[in-house]
Amino acid sequence: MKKRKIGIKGFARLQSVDKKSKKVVGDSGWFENQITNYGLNSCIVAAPIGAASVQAAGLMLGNGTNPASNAVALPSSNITNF
Amino acid sequence: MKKRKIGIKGFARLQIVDNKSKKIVGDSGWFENQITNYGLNSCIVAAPIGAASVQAAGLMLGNGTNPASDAVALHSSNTDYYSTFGPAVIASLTARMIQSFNGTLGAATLANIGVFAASSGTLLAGKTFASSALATTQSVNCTYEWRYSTS
Repeated sequence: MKKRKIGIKGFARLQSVDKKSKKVVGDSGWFENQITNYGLNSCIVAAPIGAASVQAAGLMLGNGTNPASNAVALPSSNITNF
Repeated sequence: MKKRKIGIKGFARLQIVDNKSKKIVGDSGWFENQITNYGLNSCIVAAPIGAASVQAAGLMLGNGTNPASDAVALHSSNTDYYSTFGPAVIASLTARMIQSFNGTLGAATLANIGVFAASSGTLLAGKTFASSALATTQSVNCTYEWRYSTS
């Protein structure tokens, strides 16, 4: 039996829409993300077996730099946009 | 920024132990598993965001064949040999599920193992191993790991 190789990558896309015309006025296109060490261990690895795990529940926007793999916060996050 | 590639593979190992002497009398060695389509979509993919997801909760043993990727049940499963995990441990990118079954549940021939969210649930992952007879004077210790890697 041939084994399946399973991989994971994260991607996001944002579009700004004019409220009046409903037209898309800005589009990031799809971009690949950085999964943090905490996200990898406590969510991706742990959630499928429910042991000391967390589940992703929300999105937050900010105006900061790229999170590193060991980041614990979103740089310059805007908590009103959670 | 270099992106990380994350992969996952599942492995299991069973050891039969004599209850009196505590000696290991049978060892499957580590073997790679088959994660089913249901296990992949409803557990591995869905659980991290909690949407219509299931979480692995128990192991079941059986005497059947290898599960295919589209399998929903463990072939020739022995429901006497289902139990929720003992410890479930997260360490070094590994989700480890551990269970021990006492042969007093009934003498049995063991040839496959499966991971389930419930005793009546759909098969999440499983695999066959070299068939072995379990006596009522023996126990079988099962360790099941989903190992993640980054590169």
